[in-house]
Amino acid sequence: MATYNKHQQFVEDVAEKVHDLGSDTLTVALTTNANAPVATNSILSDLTEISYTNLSSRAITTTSSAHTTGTYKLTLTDLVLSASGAVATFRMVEIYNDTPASPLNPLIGWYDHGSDVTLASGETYTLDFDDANGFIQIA
Amino acid sequence: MSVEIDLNGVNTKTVECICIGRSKAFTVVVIPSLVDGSARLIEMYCLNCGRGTKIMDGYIGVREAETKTDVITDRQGRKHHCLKAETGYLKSGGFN
Repeated sequence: MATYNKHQQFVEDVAEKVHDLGSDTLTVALTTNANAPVATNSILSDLTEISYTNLSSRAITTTSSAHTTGTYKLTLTDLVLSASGAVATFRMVEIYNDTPASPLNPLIGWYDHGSDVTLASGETYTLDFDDANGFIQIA
Repeated sequence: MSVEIDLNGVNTKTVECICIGRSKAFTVVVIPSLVDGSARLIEMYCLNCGRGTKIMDGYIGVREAETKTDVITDRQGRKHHCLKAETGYLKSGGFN
């Protein structure tokens, strides 16, 4: 599986009620390798995103948000991004919270696809979250 | 290749693919239709050996379960990429 990379600010944001992970809308942002996220980035405006022309909705559906015997797990529905035309090249897949206004669009974590991805019309990109262990766990 | 798939529910299934002299578990992935979002099959075939069975209209490929990312190509030559996202663990280091 592609490694989860944590933004440092996220742990403080969780503790200071920036996130309501049970009801907020998490969204995908895409960047090139040259503009890759780093751990010290904290909000979406810290990143340089690609153009999303010809790409379908990047909003993620939350499947469940609950704890079991003290371990919290956030489970997300797999997201399929579909191209209706040529889409700009990307490599990094960022997950951020699209709901909070202050701080605006706080970052959560990101994945490195490992190589550039270019979508042509009719092609797709699936973000396959772990159904069993979830997107994140807090214990 | 022997495959069973439930189009009304689960859209992934681990199957055994026997080709090029070996047997290996794959996950079958049904690509949602770009027209109406529904999951449909046209052919189920192995990307290693190309053998498959025509079932119904749609898109299908065979995806390995072990890798971080992969790409399958449908019979129209379109690529379908996938990133398998690892779980992030935020732990308190023994705090009780």
